Amino acid sequence: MEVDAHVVSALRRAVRDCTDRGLYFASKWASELLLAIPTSKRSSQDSAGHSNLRESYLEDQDSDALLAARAFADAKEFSRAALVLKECKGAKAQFVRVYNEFLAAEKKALRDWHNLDFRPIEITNETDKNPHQPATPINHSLLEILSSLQNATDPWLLFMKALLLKRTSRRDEAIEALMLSISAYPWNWSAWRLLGSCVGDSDELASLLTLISLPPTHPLVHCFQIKTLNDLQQPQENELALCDNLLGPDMFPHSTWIMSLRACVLYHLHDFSKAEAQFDQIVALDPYRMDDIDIFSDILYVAENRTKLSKLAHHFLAIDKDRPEVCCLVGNHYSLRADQEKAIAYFRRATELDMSYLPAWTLMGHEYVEMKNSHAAIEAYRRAIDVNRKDYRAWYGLGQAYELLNMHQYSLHYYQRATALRPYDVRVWQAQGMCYEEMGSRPREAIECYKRALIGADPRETPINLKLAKLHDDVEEYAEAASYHQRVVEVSRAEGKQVHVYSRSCIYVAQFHMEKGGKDLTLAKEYLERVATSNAEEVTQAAELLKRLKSISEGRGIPSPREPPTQARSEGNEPIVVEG
Amino acid sequence: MATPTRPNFSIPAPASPSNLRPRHSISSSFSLDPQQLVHSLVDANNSAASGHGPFHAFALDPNRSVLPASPLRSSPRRARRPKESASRHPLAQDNTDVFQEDDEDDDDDLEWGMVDRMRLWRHDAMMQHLYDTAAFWGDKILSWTNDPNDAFWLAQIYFLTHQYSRAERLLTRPFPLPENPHPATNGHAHPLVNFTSIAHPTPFMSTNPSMASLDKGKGKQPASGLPMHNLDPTHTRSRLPMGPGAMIDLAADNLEAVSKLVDMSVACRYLAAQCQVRQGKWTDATEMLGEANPFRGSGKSGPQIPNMDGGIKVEASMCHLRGLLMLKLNRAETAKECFMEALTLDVKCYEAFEQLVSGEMMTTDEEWEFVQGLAYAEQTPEDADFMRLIYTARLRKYKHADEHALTRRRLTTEYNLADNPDVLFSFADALYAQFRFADCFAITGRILELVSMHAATMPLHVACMHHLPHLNARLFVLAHEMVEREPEAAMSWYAVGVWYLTAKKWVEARTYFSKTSLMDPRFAPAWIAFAHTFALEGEHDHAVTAYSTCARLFTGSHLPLMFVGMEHIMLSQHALADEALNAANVMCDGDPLLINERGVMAYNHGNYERAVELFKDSLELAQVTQGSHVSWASTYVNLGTALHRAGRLPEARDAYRKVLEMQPRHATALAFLGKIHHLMGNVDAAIVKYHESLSIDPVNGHVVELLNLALEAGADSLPPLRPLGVAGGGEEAWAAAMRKSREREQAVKAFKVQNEGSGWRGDAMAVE
Repeated sequence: MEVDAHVVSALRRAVRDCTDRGLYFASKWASELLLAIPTSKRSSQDSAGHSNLRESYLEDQDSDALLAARAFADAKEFSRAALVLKECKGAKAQFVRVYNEFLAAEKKALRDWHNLDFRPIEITNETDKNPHQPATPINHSLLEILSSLQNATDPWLLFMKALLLKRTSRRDEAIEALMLSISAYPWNWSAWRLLGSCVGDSDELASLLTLISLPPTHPLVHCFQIKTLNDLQQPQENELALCDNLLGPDMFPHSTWIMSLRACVLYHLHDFSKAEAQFDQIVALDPYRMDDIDIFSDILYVAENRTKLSKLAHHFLAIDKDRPEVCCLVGNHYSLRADQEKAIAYFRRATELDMSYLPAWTLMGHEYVEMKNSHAAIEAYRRAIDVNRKDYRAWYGLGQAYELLNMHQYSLHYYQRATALRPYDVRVWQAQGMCYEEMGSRPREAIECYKRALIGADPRETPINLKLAKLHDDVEEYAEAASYHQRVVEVSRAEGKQVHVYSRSCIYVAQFHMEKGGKDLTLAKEYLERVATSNAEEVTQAAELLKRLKSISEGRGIPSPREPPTQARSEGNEPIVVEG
Repeated sequence: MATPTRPNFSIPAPASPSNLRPRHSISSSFSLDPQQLVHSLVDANNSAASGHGPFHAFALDPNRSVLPASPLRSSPRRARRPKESASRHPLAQDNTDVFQEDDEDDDDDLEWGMVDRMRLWRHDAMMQHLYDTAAFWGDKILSWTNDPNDAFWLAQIYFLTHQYSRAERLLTRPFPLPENPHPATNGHAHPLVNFTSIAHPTPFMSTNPSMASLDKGKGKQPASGLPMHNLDPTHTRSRLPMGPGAMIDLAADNLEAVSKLVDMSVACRYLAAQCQVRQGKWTDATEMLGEANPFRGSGKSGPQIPNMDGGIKVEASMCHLRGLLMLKLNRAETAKECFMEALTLDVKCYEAFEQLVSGEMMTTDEEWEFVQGLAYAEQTPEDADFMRLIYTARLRKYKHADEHALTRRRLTTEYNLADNPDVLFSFADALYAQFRFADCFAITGRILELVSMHAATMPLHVACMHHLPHLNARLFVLAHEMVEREPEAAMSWYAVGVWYLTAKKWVEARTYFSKTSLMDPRFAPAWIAFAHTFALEGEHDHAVTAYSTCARLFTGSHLPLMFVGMEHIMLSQHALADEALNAANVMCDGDPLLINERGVMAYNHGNYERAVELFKDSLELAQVTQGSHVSWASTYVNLGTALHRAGRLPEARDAYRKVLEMQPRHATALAFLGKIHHLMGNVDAAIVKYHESLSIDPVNGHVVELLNLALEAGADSLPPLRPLGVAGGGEEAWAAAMRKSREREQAVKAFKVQNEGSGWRGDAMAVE
């Protein structure tokens, strides 16, 4: 679907409508997109009349009050803005009133929260006993405001209703209201963002997309789809194609917003070099654009490009150091320099500037884990999850932090959450396996996890194979254990590693073939000889085994397992000691 | 009165004036008649208009006295009623009526004598609250006339100036009757006398057998039961020295010839009893009034008999006073009967109603039946409907919600009382019963705008301010203002107590509540609040004691008993709790809160199905009588728990969800919902809910334990493998995707390696 005059006029009106209602983010978005359309297409001016005569009449009536309310709201006097519209009947005035009531209540909640002798005023007595400051400010007026929107039909009021429903954890109703709102007024980007925040995973997103009343090729639907998948950190190549399409000459060729969207997709696809290039382009086009700059810093962090990160940090600090994105960028910069204290300070600053700024919470958690401060890390990760339950890094971090505390049950649960969000991450599977292992009594699950990890792991890696070998040995499945050891040996040999690195695996394989059911004595011999001729610790052991092997092959079937095989088991890195 | 008579008189009373036994017919059904005053006012105006000019000139002339309002202005002739007319006050026919006999003699125009003039002064002085003036002249009049009426009026004046003992002396001292009822000044023919005789059935009923029985009850007045004394011709009227005090000695001399005013008239007796009550002489007052209504069962009194003159029956007033007396004597049950009798005898006696209702003397059903069944039609045929409505509006709102709503609607629309404090109060009370505090506060605020003080409203107003957190500061200011303005009023200190209660300072609150109860022992809210302070502080035993006291004092309210039951539940004294709650249920079965408590008890006894039923009943009732469901979240929690224990998990889940819809941050409901998910096998959802609950209430050990259990259960099973972005697929697809991501990871590593080498170059490019 192309951008035509209709889209241009709709966008233009959206800019005005959102500004009038005080929805700055939506109007910023719409205006940025509007500017991205080539000038030739934008030339035609349109007369955007109100579709609903009655509404436009009421709006005219309320216009003076609306202007006053706008002024009050701009001066951050939200309660006053709401009051001045008390008598107005129009849907627009009603929206502005309710929205300002909501903002006033939010402001009050925040103030109460900062109040030192905070006392939650709730109807239930149970919570009264709890003198702690709650994790987030509590807005007590939500239900009250919501009740005034019970029968809303205006798209903006529906959006407001959905916002409140979302805040009171009534997600399904919120989605319903948003669907109605979007079909009546598609160009309110805030409604789309809210809808995106209601989405739990990509399946839900897919089913939602079929319900949207717009054609599936509509640019808004594409924007929504890409943005939401980015939030879920699960964009695919398909989304990349959609971005390229949106940036095409018929659509929004100059939109930095879509470019940034594309860069994020690339980042999540782990195509860091292209993502970096895309961000470079954005910075060149608009050096003052700070949205998503934290993603850029993440890329540079992963690439360990210190100098560029430092340059970027200095550049943006000079522009505005009160943006959470910039604080996050600086935090990354310090983190890369292993200056955890400073990094944490900047991440904290970012969260103070915007309590719902997810990346800073997660990164702060990472820093605390680095510092082995598990409790602080847990706190930070929890806040991240409170903001957005879809961030697998926070879940993973929580798992790690609990692991540090030896609370494997908890960390297992969090790892499971993380894998649910990100099923292809080797580290998470590995961590899960480790948890099961630590918990004891669950070797089967541990084996399963490691196997899963192995699928996604580098074919040349050995630690997972070693773990699997050990676990199989534990459950007395020697054949499997031996095969994993054998794999280790083969990989190591292919890599040209020193013998002492894999000598224990050699011994195990040999022992298996000699004593525990394996029949391949030639292989055993070969491995033992390799160890015996090396400078590994197990030289004497290998020599002894060789002797026995000789006697076995000579005597044919004289088993001499002087020690039960279980004794050969020991902790991971310790050498396998077989008593002679 | 020759003018068309008042409608009340035209009702054929059982005792028609021409009855053969007129005395028996009247009994005590007389009043201090306001109508008389109105009529005489009209008369006065008429006469003034005829004699002195236009009426409005009267009303506007500041040099005039308020005499037009005084009955004295009516001309003697006008006030005289034809003896045989049906409108004639029955007393007028009584030949024992010293003041009325030989009326005909006075029908001719007579010049007013000195006494008449002074009577006029006396009355006008009273009207203008110049009581000393009135007493001064009244004293002179009495000395001249020795007329019982004049004595009564003098006593009335003393009473109004709070000289109770003096009034009592006057009424109870031996009163030598004038042998000649007509003073030289012809005072008896004076309309005042006539007025008085009607307004105060005072001296004219001593022949009444009922009165005699009253005397018997007292059994101490040898002079009683001598109705004819006043007619005894052998007793010449002696000119007495001035001053009532001096008369006693004289009276002693003439013991034969004297009686007491209290024995001659019900009104005098009533006034004397009032004086004694004011002086705190309970025993004397009891004797004066009799232990029980002496007129009862005389056949001449009762609810079916309308008042003779349209006023309020003195009998009813006496019953009311007796009730007050019984309260003072701590005989609440008798007091209640007295008040009920008073109201039955005369529905207009609002004070008896007020005592019954605000003193919580009757249970909800009892109250409703009683008030609906009063003899409105018989006593006030024209106003019966309105009377019933305005009384109904005041009743408790647990039941009959529809009738209550209709009542209020009719009062506002048909009777145009939309802005009347009492009708507004009914609205406020209904809203309060629905826990709609903000709306209630709006109305109580309006009431207090209209009238600065409304006794019934104030507790509601204060309670609303207690319940609405944003009004707490205003409560502080209000309490201060009230204490400053009316330090003598119990209400003011109650407000102070409630403020301390709001501030959770139990000890201070208790101090002020007990102060309130000391000031006004019949102020129910203070007693309950006093007990609440103990309950809130966790002193459950003390709370039980306090609530029990409350239950004893306010026998009609089920609330104290219910609170007792709740405290027993807290103390796990199940048998006692059952007892209290059942007793409360007998008194009122329409309170959802009480049914909820009974449900809790059923749950405690392990009777989960019954508990479910009760909780559902409670919520249903709440839906009928309460506007909003939000206040009933706890009952939904209870319902959910009972359903859970009864094994009805899906229903339990719905109940908890309902709670969370009302209160999204209800930690307990979140935890329970998690538990239900857990039990239904949805471990992941359970863990999420436990977490949500713990984020609100992090120190709840039970939830932590449940969470651990759920995590343990969650560890038993690996999550199913599900590739992202592709519907279906299963493990194969997942493995494929995993491999793909592996390739990507390798690319990342390569990128890193490359960057490490060319870091500087890349940077330089960006700078350009």
